[in-house]
Amino acid sequence: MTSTFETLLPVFLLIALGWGLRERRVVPEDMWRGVELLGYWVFFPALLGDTLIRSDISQLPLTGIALTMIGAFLTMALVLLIARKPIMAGLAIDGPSYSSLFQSATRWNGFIALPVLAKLYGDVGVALVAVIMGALVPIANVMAVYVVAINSAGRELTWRETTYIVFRNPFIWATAMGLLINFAGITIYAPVMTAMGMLGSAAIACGLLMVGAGLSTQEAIRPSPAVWAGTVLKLFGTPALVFVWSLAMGVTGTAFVACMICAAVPTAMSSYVLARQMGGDAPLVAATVTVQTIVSFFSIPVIIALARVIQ
Amino acid sequence: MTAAFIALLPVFIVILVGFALRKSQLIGEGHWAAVDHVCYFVLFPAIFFKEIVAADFSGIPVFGMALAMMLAVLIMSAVLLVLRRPLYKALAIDGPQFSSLFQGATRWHTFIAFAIIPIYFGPSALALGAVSAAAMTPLLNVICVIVISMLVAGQSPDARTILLAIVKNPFVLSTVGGVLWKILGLPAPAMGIQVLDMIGKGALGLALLTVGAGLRVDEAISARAPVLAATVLKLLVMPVIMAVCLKMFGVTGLAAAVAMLCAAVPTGSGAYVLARQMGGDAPLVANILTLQVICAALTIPLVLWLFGILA
Repeated sequence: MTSTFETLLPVFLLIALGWGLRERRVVPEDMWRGVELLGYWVFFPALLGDTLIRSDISQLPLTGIALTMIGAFLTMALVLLIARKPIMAGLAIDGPSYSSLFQSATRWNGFIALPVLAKLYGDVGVALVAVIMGALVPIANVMAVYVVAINSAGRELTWRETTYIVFRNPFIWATAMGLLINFAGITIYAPVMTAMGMLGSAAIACGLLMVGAGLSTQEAIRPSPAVWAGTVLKLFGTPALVFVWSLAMGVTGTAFVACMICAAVPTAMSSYVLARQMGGDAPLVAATVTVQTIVSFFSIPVIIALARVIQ
Repeated sequence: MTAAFIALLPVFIVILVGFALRKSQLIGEGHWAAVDHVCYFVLFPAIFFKEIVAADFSGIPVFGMALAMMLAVLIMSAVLLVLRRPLYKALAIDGPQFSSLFQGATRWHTFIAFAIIPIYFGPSALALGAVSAAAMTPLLNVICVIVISMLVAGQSPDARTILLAIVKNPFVLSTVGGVLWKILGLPAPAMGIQVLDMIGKGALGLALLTVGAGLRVDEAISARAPVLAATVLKLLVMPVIMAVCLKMFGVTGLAAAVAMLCAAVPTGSGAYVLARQMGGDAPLVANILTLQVICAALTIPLVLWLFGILA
């Protein structure tokens, strides 16, 4: 437990550094946008592709992992959708705030899960995150967009827009290409692989600094009940669901721990962007992300320690 | 030669990716400037500091290496200054243009050197790169500030300007800080080093992208002769001077090879900033840097290969 905590400490120190750099305005505002774009379009796809091409993934229970994560996600999403009225009444929130709670409880931050798994299991850890991203990101993105649209007086999406949301995501492309090249046994010219590795190694630090820069402590000073609900559902509810689903799917060992970690990390930073763009409650997302990140500093080591005992 | 070329190819692929990214306008002009700013003020200083503090310098001829590198810089500077009048005539240039030629022939690009070191010499050789930065960067800054001021304003800068050029340079601060930390024997907590290391790994890929984004191939070359002269002087003559100086101080092995690399890389992006601030010919610096980066894909492998054979 203490050693897990220490392993994760650098990850959270980098997040804190990103926050400090933004808060003290050491770094120009434009930088964060630049790094975000580079991380999203270049560094993370390079890391996912590079790792998937190089790793021996034939031993991983890919289908079990995918079904576990999708199953847990759908369970959480369905419960929240069915209990929509009681949740809105109980927490005294409106539609836009409900959509933010939904995003906070169902999505996950790959920028945090990836460094944690990379530190614990190296390349295998990264490959596992890539597989989970490939399974979960399309469905989670589409669901999030729909729920926000329905709850914020926005219009419904056309099929074309939905397809665009799924296929515009570079993580999906990188994962699909990586898996394809790996399974087809294609050899990529070594210098190109090294170049991809160099770009990929920028992903972790940039991603974590960015997560930190996105935190807003002002919003989170007095968390509302909705913030706490989003935090508890995400940091403890999702891992519990993943645990049940992994039992059902027979996912064990490293893959099980990886699933638990991806379940235990805070919600995605893109939730905030989506809420702002589509009329969700963006300040609520910002506050929840911040509280989740602080709490996860303590909760993730606990979940990892438990998962490793069970695995 | 071919082996060295292929080993360095990834670096130039990443630079090309940076160039393509800027062309694609996926990432805006302002964002690139901000990312470059952060590499310069935050990420690379972190690398320098970490590499010097964490390095084990026993068995490395640190002083011989540093002195040889400083001597090489001084020789190149002296030769250029002595031959100033003939160069004016031969290349048909004025004072500001000469100052850009001077910067183009003497400075070095730490971003490129530091990206090459880990893939060509192994990550532990980064400490030697940091020694190079500590030896050459403060000296180069002082020399360049004086030379530009003399050539542009016609007078030697006051002591305050020189002092500010040293004190305000983040590379100087971080390398000198690291050396002092080491000399004073202050503790280097493993956790802190690990965080700095994660930042450093991210910085290398990011910095290389900004090198590519900074290339200006489509811009008209303002003066062909000084651009060619600076390229030959920096990429070919500087390594020869460095080899002689290393021989004089009896520096051999890995330390000498890293010093050769630092001599063989293109001029630094700091040259452009300085030229703009002090009235040098900044567009000329940009032209020089662009041509040097393109030629360096061939000349750096050539220099490393020749040095490997002769040494």
